[in-house]
Amino acid sequence: MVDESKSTFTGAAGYDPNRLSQLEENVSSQVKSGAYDMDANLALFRHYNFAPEKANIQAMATVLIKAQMQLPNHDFAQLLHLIPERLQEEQPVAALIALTQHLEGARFQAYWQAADSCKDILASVPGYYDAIRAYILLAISSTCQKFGKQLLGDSLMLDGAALEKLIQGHKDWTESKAQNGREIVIFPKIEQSSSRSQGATPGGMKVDVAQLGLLLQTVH
Amino acid sequence: MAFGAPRYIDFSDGVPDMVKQFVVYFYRHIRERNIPEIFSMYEVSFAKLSERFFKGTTWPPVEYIAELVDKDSVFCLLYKEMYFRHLYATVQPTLEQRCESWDNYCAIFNIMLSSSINMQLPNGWLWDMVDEFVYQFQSWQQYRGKLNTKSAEELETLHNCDRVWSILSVLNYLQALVDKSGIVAELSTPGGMERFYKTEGYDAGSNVLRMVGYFSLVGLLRVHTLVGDYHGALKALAVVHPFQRTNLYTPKIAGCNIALYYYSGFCYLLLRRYLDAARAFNNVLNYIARVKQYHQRSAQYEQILKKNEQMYALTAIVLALCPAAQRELDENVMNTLREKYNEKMMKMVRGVDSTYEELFAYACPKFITAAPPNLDAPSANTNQEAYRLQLRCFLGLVQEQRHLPSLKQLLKLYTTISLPKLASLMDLDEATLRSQLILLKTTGFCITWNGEGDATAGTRQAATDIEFHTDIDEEGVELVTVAEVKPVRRQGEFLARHIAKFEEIVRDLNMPIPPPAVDGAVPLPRAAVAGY
Repeated sequence: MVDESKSTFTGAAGYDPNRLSQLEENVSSQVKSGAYDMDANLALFRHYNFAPEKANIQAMATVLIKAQMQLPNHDFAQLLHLIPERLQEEQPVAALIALTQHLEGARFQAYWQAADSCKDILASVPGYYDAIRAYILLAISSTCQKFGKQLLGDSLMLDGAALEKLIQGHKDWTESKAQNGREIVIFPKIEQSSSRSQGATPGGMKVDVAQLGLLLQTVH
Repeated sequence: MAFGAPRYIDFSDGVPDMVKQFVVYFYRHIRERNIPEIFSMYEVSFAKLSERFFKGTTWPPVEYIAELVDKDSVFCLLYKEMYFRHLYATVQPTLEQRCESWDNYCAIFNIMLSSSINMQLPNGWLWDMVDEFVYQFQSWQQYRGKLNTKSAEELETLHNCDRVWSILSVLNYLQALVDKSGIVAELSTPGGMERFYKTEGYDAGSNVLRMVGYFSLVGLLRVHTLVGDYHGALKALAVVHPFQRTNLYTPKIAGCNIALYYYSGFCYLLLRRYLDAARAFNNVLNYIARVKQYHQRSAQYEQILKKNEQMYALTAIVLALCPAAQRELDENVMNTLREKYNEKMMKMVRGVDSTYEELFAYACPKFITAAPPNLDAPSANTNQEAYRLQLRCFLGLVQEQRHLPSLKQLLKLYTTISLPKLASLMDLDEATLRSQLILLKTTGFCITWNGEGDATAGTRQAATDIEFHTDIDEEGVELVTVAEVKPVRRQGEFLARHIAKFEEIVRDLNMPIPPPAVDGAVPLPRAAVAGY
C-alpha cells in the first residue's frame, strides 16, 4: 500500500462526515494525477459503510478499480469487507468483484473476457491496463521459468506487434523454439526463497553463528 | 444471555453499612491519591460487596450515596461508571439505562478532555473504563439491531436518540482522547516509550488523560475491527505496535494486552498477512499461559480463558491457510494447538468449508452493522448481516484455494512431472491446472512486517512450504519442477529454552524450603501485583 504516509484523512479527519464530498473529489484527483491514497479511500468507504444511503456507486467503483491496480496487495479485499452485501450486488461493483476473483484465481483469459463487458469504466482510469498486465506478468514470471509465447499473449491480451514490443522491452527475457515448433519465452531465473540445503543435517544439529550468540546469552 | 428477572432493591430504608463504609473509604483514598488502596478497593472489595449484597440486582443509585461523598461530582460520575458496569454484567440493561450510561461516559470524557481532572486513578481501572465503553457500544448495536422485539414506545425513543452510542460519536471520543492526551507525540520522542513503560504514567500530575489516551488506541483498534475495517484498525494503533515489544506497556494490564493481540491478530488474518497473524497469536498465547494463574480469582478469568481458546481456533485457521506460518509458532503453542485442533486442521486442509465456518463463527469478534437499521420497517434483525458479510468475504478466499492442498500433496511426491500427467492426476484440464499452479505460487507470498513502520507496514515475503516452478522441455512439453522446502529449524532457540528451564530447575532444587503460608495467603509474584 503506497503513497499513504501523507494522507490528510487519518485520525479525527477520517471520521468527519462533513468531509464526504472532499473525499469523493479526492478520488477524482487520484484518477487524474495517478496517485493512490489508501487511507483516504478507506475513510470514504467507512462513511459509506456507516451511511449506505449516501454511497456514490460511481466513486465506489473508481476506488475499487484503483485498489485492483494495487494487486498483489490485497487493498481490494480489504475494501470489500466494508461494502454491505446489498451494494456488492449492484453494478458495476459486482462486475469488479468478479474481475478481481479472476485475477486472484489466475484465470487471466476469463478475466479479459469479463473485462471486455465493462471496458468503458475500466478505461476511465489511466494506467489501469498497464497495472493489471504488470500484475499478470508478475504472477506468471514468478511461477513459470518458460512460458508459451501464444499463451503469454492470450494471458496479457496482447498480440502481434504489441507482444513483440513487450518482449523487446525486457532485455532479460530470451526467446526460443521447441522441437515441435512451439515458441517459448524464457524469463529470468526464478529465485527460490529457500533452498534444500538448509535445515537439519542428518545425525546432528546445525547452529549458526547468530543462534550461537543467543545460546551464549542464555548461559550467562 | 439468560439473566433472571432483575430484582430491584428498595434503598429507601438505607444502604447497608458495609457499602456506606466502602463508599466513604473509596472516596477518601481517591482524594488522597492512594493508588494501591484505590486499586484494591476497586478490584477486590467492589467485587466482594457486589457478590454479597447485589447479586442479580444493582448497586444503590448514586443519589443514595452522594451525601456520603460531599456530593463530589467527579466521584459521583466514577461511581456511576462502576454502577453501570456492574448492571451490564448482572441484568439486561433497559433502553433508559443504556442512554444514562452513555451520558455518564460522555460526562467523564468531557471532563478529561477539558483537562480539569487532577486525580490519579489506577491504570487497571482506566483500561476497564475504555474497554467497557467499547463493550457497551457493541452491546447497544446488538440491542438496536433486534428491532422485531421492540415496542412502539421503544422505537420512538430510539428515533430520538440517534446520537447515543453512534459509531461516529464513539470513534470521535476515542480519537479526541488520543489527540488531547498527546500520547502519540510523547511515545514517538526518543526514550518516550521507555519512560512511559517505567513510570506507567504516574510520574507527572494526573495519569488519567494520558493513560486513557493510550488505552483509546486499543479501543480504536477494536471498534474498527468490529465493522470490518482491518487496515484502519491497525493504522489506528499508531505508536502501539504489537511487534515492537521492547518497553511495550500493554503486557502490564492483561485485559489490554490480550485485546491488543486478539484484535490485531484477527486483522492480520483477514488481511491475509498470515505470518503476522501467527506471530501475534503466538506471542499472546505464550503470555496467557504465563500469567493466567495470577488471574484465577479475578472477574476476568473466564474472559481470558475464552479468548485463549478463540485464539487457538484462529491460529488453526492461519495454519490451514498458510502452513508455512508454523515457523512463527513456539513449540509449546504448536503442541497445544495439535492437542486441541488437530482433527479440525486436517479437515480444513482437506478443504471442508463448514469447518472453517465453524471456527470462524466461534472465534470472530461480534461484528456490528454500523449503519442504523431502518426504524420504519421494524421487522428486521440486522445483527446477522454484519457477521454474514465478513464470513462471505472470508469464505470466498477459502473456496478459491480449496484445490491447493491436494495439488501440493501431489507435487511433493515428484521432483519433475509433466503438466498433462499432473492434470490427469488432479482431474483438471490443463488451463485450470496452470491457473492453480500460479495461484499456489502467488498465495505463497504474504505481506509481512519487516521491522519498520507502523502495524500496517510490511513487505511481500515468501511464506510457503513448497518450492516449484514450471518449465518447458526441448520437446515443448510443460513440466513442473519441485524442490521441497525443509523448514529451517531454529535449534538455537530450542536449546536456549531448555538451558533456561534446566537452570530454573537447578535453582529451585537449591532453594531452602519456605515455611508454610499462613491462612492460605499465597505470596504473589511481582507480575501479579503490578498493573494497578
